[in-house]
Amino acid sequence: MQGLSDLPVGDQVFRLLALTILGIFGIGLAFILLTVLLRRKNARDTEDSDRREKKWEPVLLEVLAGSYGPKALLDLVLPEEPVPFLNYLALFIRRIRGSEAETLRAMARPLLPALVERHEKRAFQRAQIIRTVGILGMPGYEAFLEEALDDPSPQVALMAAEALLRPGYPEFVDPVLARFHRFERWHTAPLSRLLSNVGPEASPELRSALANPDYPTWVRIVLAQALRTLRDVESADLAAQIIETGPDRELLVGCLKLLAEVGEARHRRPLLPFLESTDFPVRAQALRALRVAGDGEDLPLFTKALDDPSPWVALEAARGMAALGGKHDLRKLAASQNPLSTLASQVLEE
Amino acid sequence: MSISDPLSVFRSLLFEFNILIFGYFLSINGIYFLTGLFAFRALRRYTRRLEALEIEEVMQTAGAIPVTLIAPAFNEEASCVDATRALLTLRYADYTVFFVNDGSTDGTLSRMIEAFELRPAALAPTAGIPTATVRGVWRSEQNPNLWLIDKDNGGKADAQNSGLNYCRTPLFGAIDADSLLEPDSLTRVVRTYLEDATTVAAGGTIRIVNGCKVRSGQVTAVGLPKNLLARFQVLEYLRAFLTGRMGWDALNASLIISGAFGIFRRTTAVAIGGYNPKSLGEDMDFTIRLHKHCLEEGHPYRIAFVPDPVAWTECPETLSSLARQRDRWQRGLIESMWWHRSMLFNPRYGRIGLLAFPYFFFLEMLGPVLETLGYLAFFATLLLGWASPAYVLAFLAVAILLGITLSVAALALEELSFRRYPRTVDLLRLLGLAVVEALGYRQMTTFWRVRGFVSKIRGVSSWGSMERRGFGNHDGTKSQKA
Repeated sequence: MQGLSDLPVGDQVFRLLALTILGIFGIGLAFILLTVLLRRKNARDTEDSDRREKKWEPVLLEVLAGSYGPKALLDLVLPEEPVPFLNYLALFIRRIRGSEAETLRAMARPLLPALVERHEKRAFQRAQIIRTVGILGMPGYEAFLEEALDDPSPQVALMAAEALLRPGYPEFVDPVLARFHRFERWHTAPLSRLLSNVGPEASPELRSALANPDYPTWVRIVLAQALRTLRDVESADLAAQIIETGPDRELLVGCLKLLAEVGEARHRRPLLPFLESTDFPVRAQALRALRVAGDGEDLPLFTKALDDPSPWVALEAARGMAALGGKHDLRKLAASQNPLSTLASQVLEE
Repeated sequence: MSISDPLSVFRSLLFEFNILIFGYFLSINGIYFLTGLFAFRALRRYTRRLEALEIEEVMQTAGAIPVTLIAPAFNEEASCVDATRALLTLRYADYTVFFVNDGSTDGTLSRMIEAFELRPAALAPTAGIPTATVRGVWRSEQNPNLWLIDKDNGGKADAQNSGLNYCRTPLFGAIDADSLLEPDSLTRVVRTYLEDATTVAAGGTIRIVNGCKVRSGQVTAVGLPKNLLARFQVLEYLRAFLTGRMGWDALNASLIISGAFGIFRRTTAVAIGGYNPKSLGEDMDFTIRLHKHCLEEGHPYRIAFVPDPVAWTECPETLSSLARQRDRWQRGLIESMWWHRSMLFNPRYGRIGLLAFPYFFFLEMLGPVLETLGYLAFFATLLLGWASPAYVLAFLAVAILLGITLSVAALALEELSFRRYPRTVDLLRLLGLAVVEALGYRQMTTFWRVRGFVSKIRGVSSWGSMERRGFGNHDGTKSQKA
């Protein structure tokens, strides 16, 4: 059997090793070079950015103070600088409001057409454009943003949706809902926030979509959540109707949460069967809703639910007791040796 | 050659063993190289996406999922107040901090009570994971979002379970009480949950705080430590997180979310019974059990590594302390691999069972043993004159150059993405360290990991202790032991 020392130097294996060494050495050197070059480039980019800000900021402040006209600042923007300038304005505008923000938008306006005509291949660059146009170009660029709802990248589409769904402008709720399937992976919280940002003006569209069983369940859950954020009283009847149709568990919980926000006495009856559900989130949310829709006569239901095996249901029961006139019983419980005394104390301290 | 000649048999075996070691060497470096490539692509894409986002805007427009941060502490009087203050200044709309005093015998509890005006409070548990006895719950009068759970000592995992039992938010964070989270770290990591509703766990990057300036619980200037051991660890952490974790995440096969900073979905964590208090590597065991649970239940899920949220942590600066840490890490790894060995090459567990688990089992767990045996076999071959010196040098050159290249690649990734070390001199020092790391430091850590193997076989189960200086002392100018 051949040992290592039997392999003559200069044979194929050794040549392969030597080549490997050279290869790895080359790759290592390339990485070192890359690191150093990246450091230089990053330093240069930072310097450029600092230099531009130092050039623009004092003049911008004078423009906002009314000492100079916008032209004074626009004259400082070199032909290769419109994009960094717009990005700078998009960041700066977050610090100001009202007429000052309008002044900034007016300054940006002549530069925006060149930006929207850029056909970027990379999603992150398109997203940057959408973000800048959304911040600086509204109103005026609705059609461009609506087109971006169909961008191949869902992130770009979502940014366009964010820009379109501005407070007081409900006309884009339906076009956005029509593309909602693109955001299916997203958590319901940002999506419902997106819709509720429009404000109460969006409620009719949101209610109509919630009532529509053709929408996927997860979209209806988002809609229920948005209506809850808006505290839309008129959606309570709709939520009560939906829970009676035996919906999917998550939609049921979503509608119960909505009723817990805007429910009234007339919604009490449809809630009662869910207190006996085998699913603890359903029982807990039904109790929460009953706390709003019910009254002192429901106290025995809450007292019974204190013994529920789920601590979440017991917590809602104790909160319901506190809200509907059962504080005296809770105080007695808190002072006792009962295992629920901590829960009672906690709710009394809340 | 006669088979009956013992020397020939030994020589033959040694040769075969050297081939095996060479195979191991190629496999591990090949995987490092591949994960590095995946990491490169994933980081590039990730940082570009970040360029199109303003994290403050994300917070304002996307809404915040409520989070409870659970910070277990045992005898952390030197750093507990600063670390908690840092936790209370995070830029996140809706979060609660549970500081869990795990039966500290020093002044941790009294310092916390005094510093945050804690008063006894009532809080009912929402889950029933068995833990050591909870003595009491306290709440801060200064900041109602801060709670302290005082309990008998039961270890880190037990303390985390206590916090989990009282948690009332959809997400909870497991963090070390001696770690400093960057102010926007929570927003950055929770963004993963917003963008993918199936996420059950997400972890951020851990960086070394030694050598950085810390003021009021926040890192105000990033720098390299003066201590050489700590510097090596800076490089090690960069490599582990930016190439290793990022690469495995790109393959959707992250097998560990670091115990120093991870955010988890509460319901899933409770469903698997919380952390295993018997485990020394509770973070890895927990992550593996999350994978196992979701795969067995058929839930779509994601366990993600997110590179930009950062937790700063203190690393050991003495050989003995570092040796104890690596010994414990190795024992934790062995436990996790052994307890869940049914996942090994099990197609039921998809890429976890077929890819990530075998890598950790054979190359990370058994690797140090193979590597040490390899060194011995290599030197035996050399001493007995059975290897050509030219080959020896060539193999050594390949090994050392590969190690250097992987470290330098990690530095390139750092420069490509987050650039946390602003001083060019620090970058050059790290490049220098990448060269010398393979000449001694790597062998030392391998030896400590082998010692961990031996400790495990001997049934050692202690954590060992680590000297803490407290964050106030990390100003890069002095080094004092608490």
